[in-house]
Amino acid sequence: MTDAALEIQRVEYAYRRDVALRGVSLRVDPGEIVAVTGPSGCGKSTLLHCAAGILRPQAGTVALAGRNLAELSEAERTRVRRTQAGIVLQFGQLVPDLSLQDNVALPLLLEGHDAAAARRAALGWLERVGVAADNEALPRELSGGQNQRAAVARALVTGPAVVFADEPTGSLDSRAGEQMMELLVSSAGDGGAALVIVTHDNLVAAYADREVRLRDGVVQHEVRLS
Amino acid sequence: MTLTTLITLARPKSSTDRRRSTLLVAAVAVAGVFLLAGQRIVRLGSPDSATYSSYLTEDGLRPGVVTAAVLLAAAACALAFQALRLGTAARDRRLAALRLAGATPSQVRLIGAAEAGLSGLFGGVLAGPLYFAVAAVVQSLPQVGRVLPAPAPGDLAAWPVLAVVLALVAASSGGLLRRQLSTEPKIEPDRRVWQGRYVTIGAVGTILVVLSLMPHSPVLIFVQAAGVLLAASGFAPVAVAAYGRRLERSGDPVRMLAGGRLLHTARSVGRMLALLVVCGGVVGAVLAMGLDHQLSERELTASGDFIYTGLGFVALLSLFAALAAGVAMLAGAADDLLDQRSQLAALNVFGMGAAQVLRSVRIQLTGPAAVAVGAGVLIGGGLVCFRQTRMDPATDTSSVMVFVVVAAGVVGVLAWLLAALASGVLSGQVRDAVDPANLRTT
Repeated sequence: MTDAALEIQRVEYAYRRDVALRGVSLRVDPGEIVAVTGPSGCGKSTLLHCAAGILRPQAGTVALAGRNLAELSEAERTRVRRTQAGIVLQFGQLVPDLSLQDNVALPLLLEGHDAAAARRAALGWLERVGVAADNEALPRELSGGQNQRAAVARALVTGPAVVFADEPTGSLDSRAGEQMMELLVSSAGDGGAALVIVTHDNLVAAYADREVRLRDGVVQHEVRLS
Repeated sequence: MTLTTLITLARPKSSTDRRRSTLLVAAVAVAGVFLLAGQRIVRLGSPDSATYSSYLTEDGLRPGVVTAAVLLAAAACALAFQALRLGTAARDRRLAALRLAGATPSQVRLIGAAEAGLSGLFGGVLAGPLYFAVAAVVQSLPQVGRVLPAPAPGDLAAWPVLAVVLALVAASSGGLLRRQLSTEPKIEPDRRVWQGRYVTIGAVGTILVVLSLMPHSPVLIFVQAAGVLLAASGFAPVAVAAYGRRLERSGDPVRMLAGGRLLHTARSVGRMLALLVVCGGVVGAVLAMGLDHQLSERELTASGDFIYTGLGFVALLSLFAALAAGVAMLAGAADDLLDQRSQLAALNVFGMGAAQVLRSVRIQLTGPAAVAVGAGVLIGGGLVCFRQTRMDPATDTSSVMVFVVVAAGVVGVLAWLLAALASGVLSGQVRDAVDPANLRTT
């Protein structure tokens, strides 16, 4: 369709009677960093979930790495999401019963990769994000910051076109949050992935090339930051 | 804190809380029925031998029936305790929030005790009508099956007392479960340490069983049964952990998820599996005894009706205990789904959908349950055959043992199918757990 990493056109989404998105459009180029900001309940996370193919918009289109998600079956959409979208959430959301290495290897294993190769790749990413020494540890044995680092590794292990981060520093203190953002920006940049960050924190938004501010489900304004 | 505040805080808040309370009330009610039956039999005096089964009228057998009732009450209590532990992580977070709002540790314990105590009281109250209904049904059976006397006025006095006792026991357990509530993260005990303890318990049980098999052993049959229970309680959690570890290393995401879960719930799953081993053991022993009587040409020391009614009751009651263990395992799996919903929703994003999560739950339940029940049948049947041979060296029990082995396989497969069907009950919870709406929950 296009050479954009992500192209969203006139997307609408409503939860029963609450309209979350009212015709939002957004284009993200490869390697670009975009911060989606706005007050609570303005539709930031809903936009991210629609963009990542987690939710199906009721109107409009989402093209991720050139694939129109609306034209894909559920299985195809899942596959595109798994290979082209990396996702980092506020609390890491790692499986508590699996080691960090297994957590990071999961997307590759789900994709059908050989187990040994998947674990090697996972360990490589854990080294890059600085928690390789804890590869056998369980998430509950580590700090929130270490878990978030592993979550970044899990998001990037498949080499996605776009990394989506939903309040990635929301559960961290300011120092850990800063380190987290530096890691996220550099890791996504190394892999050539675009980065879409949903945040209400201006310090986090400052890492972006462009800020898109939402209000009541519509784009209020866009600002180029660099 | 006023009583109104206490009751408001203790009342079930979510649908999960309500399900947990329902399970707790039901389990306490069933335990109450067995305890009311036990006290009625104890107070029976000299029963009319023309009205009731020989199991009640013969002085030597009556204590056995009371023991069975108490053991079944214990199985129901185990289910109640498991129900009490459900949702513990989520409720701990809620109660920790109350601590932050200024509740003292004793107030938090009081809320936990009130939650459990109210359910215990409802269960105890419900036990009365249930007991009278069961007793009425038993009176309609042929004489040989009347193992429970007709209700007496004394039961009406025992019922409220029992309801209060059950409420107090439930309240104490609920309070105790909150005794270590802290805002600090929980630290799991070292796996090697607890496995060492469990292996020791298993070894003690095994030694008891082996001693009971020695020629002229002074060890009684009840001690042998206790030995099997100890051995199963000790080795089952260790075996579950080993199986979990194997699944976790399989490289298959579905099996890894099941393995990780088993590995970290090995002790609670192991306790339920130990109960299943014992239930399987009872079925195996009953089967071997029945087959031995059928295949041998020995004279029976009692009437066939008497023996087979007894064996039938034992098998039926062990089935009840096995169901209690199964329900407890299922409830534990449902609780895990609720507790890990945000992580499972995140896995859904990476392509592990509801079907795969349900498959991992099925793996978690089916394999261990089938092996436990099958192994139990083999152990129970094997012990009976061995004992028979020791008592009469001329007896050939090889054909009985062949039947026992086949039965172990059949019962194991049936347990597998039942567990697979039961895991289907969780499909709704699995769909709820992987819902993207859970991505924002902690």
